[in-house]
Amino acid sequence: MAEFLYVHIPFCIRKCSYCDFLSFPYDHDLAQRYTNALCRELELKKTFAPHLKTIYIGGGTPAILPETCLKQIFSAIRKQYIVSPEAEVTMETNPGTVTGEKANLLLSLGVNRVSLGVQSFSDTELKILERVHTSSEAFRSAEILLMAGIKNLSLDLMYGIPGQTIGTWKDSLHRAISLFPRHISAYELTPEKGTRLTRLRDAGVLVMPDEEEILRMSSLALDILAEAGFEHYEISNYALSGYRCIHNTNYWGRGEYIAVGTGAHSFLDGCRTRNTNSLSDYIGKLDNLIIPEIDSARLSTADRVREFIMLGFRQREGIPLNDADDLNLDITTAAQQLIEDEFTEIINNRLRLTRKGLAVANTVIIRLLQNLEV
Amino acid sequence: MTKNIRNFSIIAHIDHGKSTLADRLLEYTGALSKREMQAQVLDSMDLERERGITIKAHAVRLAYRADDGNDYVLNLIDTPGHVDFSYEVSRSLASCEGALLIVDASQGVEAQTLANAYLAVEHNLEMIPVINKIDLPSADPERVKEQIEDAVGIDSTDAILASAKEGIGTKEILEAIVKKVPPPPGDEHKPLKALIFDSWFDNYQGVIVLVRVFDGRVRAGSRILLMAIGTSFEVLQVGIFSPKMTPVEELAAGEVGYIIASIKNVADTKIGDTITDVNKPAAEPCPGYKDIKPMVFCGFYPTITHQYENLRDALNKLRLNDSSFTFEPETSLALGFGFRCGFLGLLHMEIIQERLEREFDLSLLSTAPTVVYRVTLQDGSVEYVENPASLPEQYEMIEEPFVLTTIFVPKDFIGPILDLCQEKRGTQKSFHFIGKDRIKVEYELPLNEILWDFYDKLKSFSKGYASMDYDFLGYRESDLVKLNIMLNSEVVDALSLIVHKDKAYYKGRQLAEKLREIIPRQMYEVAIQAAIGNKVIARETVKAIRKDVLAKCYGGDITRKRKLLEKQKEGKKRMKQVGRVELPQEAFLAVLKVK
Repeated sequence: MAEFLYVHIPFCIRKCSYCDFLSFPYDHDLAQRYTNALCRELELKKTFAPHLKTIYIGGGTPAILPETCLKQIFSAIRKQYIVSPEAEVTMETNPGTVTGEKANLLLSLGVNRVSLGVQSFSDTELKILERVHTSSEAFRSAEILLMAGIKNLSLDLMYGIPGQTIGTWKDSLHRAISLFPRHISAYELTPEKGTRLTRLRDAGVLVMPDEEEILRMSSLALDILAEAGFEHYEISNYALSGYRCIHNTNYWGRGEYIAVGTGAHSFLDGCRTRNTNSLSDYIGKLDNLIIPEIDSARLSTADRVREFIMLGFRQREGIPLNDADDLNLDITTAAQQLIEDEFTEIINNRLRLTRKGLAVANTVIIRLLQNLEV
Repeated sequence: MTKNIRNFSIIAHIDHGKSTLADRLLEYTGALSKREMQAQVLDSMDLERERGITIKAHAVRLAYRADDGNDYVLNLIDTPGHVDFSYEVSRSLASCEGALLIVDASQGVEAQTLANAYLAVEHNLEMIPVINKIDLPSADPERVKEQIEDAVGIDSTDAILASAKEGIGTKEILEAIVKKVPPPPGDEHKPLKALIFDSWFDNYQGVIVLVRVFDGRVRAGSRILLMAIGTSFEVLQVGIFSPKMTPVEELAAGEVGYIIASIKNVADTKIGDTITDVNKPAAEPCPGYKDIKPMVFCGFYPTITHQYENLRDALNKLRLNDSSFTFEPETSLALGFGFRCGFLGLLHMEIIQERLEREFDLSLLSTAPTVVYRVTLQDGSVEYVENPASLPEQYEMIEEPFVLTTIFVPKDFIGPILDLCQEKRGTQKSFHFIGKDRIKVEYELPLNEILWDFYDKLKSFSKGYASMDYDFLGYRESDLVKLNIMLNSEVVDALSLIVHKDKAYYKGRQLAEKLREIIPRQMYEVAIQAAIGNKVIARETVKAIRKDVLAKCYGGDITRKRKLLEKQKEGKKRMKQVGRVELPQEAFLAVLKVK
């Protein structure tokens, strides 16, 4: 039984230049129909996860939904599922959609963790990312949330933005820390296929910072955040003690979860499934009380091993060697050379990436998988 | 009764219309109807896979009623079209009394045609020149006739003008075969004497042997002896290809057909061997038997270590059907366990590698092809070195194989071709005009030099018009040295090569540079060095990867990320890990890309 629920809200004011995630322009009528469908899916899936430890509302921009819709979703969750009183309930928000009213609404719905998509505190960089907000709006949003009483605030930041320098990145990190978040995600901006960012880069309009610059930025984040007391617990995630994201940690630990909404992914009974990306298909299927899954794949033994290694290395603590025995893997032998060459190390019976290994995580993962012959 | 039999083959350059003409002859003599022809051609791939035969079975019997009112049996014996297989060609020709010499009416005589035509002349075959594709606007039969007379030295006044495509000249060709090709000699009362000119393995019937019977007769139940190998078998069936496999009572002197004798191993039926009667053996075998030796060697290694056994099984299976390549286990420090394989030539090597990968689903790494060097040690003993890595440290003398290379080229392109031969350490032996605008040159060249890019260059320098052929001359002493490649200070044996001293320095530098381009950046810095003995002559560096990490693991979409990694991993599948360095297949062939 899964104890983790993901809810996808695929609406945004407008798409950011780097985004290849599933989202559609907000439309009031459509949002209402989507909410109805979502509630139906919640009902259909309740037997897979009767008790919930976490709820994560992601998007898109979930907070863009009107009060009625948000209330409807939360009451559906509480009606169909037993939500643990200590449950971590996260909602993604973007600066610009946060008002005092909305903050109070979230609190009243039981949201106790907010992930705020700041990305940068430089207005030039925000423009390049085509974000809808400015840096001062980001400040105000964080303040509103904190004032309303949402202590567990997470900020998303990005490095590797065209035009970004070590100086502006350092500035963004410091300003973020000054807002007293409990959690920071620092992602490298990766131009994905089919995004405007990639097209502009390929056309030579935007120039990505070079490899060495990006390495310096990632190194800077490690140092500054460590100094501010943040623990680096996943490749891109940092938390103060006791504030790791429980929901995401479950993904990385290969735990089961259910998910509702367009394009949402579930993991149950060794199967990874995906919902349709099409809004009309999604709504249409649920009108007929059909779960709108389009892909379902049972993981093979090799797939399980691959995930185990890949996700294990994403966590700074590394791959639990005890669990490796259960999968019949002799990881220590396979990793011998990687350990000798200081790409990985064994600490507390876990094989983890060293700082040097972190920068080339993919290569290390692939090498280990090759050595394990999976 | 052999006076109504005619045994003949067709000599032609690739694309000069041999198969079309063969089809036309089959159709005209009613061996196959037009509809059957098409059906057969379509089926031929499957058929070939299942039965090892095609409509172009290597010997087809045609029944023909000639203008003189008599019925004749015409045996068409096919010949492989590539220089790698010239010994097989010679055995096929030895089984005939005549040959059609097909020359394209616009392309004219090519080196390959000429090589086979000379072979035919050597075997005293009656040659019937046929000028094909006369329907093309660019056809110039008079010029081609002149070329044939100049180059081959046969009278071509009566050359048949044909177009196999249009069916022009088919009857004239059949009549010429009957009138000009002599009936086979031979005495069916003498002891059995039959020449093997082809054999292959069939999953259901074992080895099928194609023979030309010179004396005596053979039938099911006969006990036969293979003279060169010395093994004997009982014949289960004899027959002919019509072109369908058709059993007959017996094959007698002058006839061509197949023998099935529960032979398990195709290596027992060497092409050129003589079949005789165990109890009444022939006094001597057919002349000309040679145990053909591979000329070109390379190492095959599985990129995935545990495919070693599969590779051995696959090589064994392929050898069932092709006794002309050899293999034996070899160990490379860099590549682990593999096989050193010998081939008749480069094309042969490519064919085998492709079959191993396609039919047996193996992922192979091949080392650069090399010739066999003859090394005389200080104690006077002689060693043949098939792998540059195993060249002894100390030796008295090293010799390399030389070939006599015949090149045909339109006179406009002769300049660059002569330069090419010079650059490849060639010695000119002859220079002749064939007709007004074509030149035939002969060069003695080290085989090593024409292995690599010679043919490609020949073609590109002549806009595709030049053609070549070569013949083994023997071993000659050369000033050769071993060039080693070191990766992070370790010699990679599979990258070693033997080169002429004058070119070693240049080649070493080029090779190091090429390897730098080919070797992808990896977790470690890779230092590439080229060295002659202990002397490093070139150094290049491949910098380590600095950054390779997927930043974000999107909301629960683990599968997408796993697939991204798998894709990245797939790209490394054909890489071989040598020490800490991952080398792509191209690295082992880099030497071929160096001038």
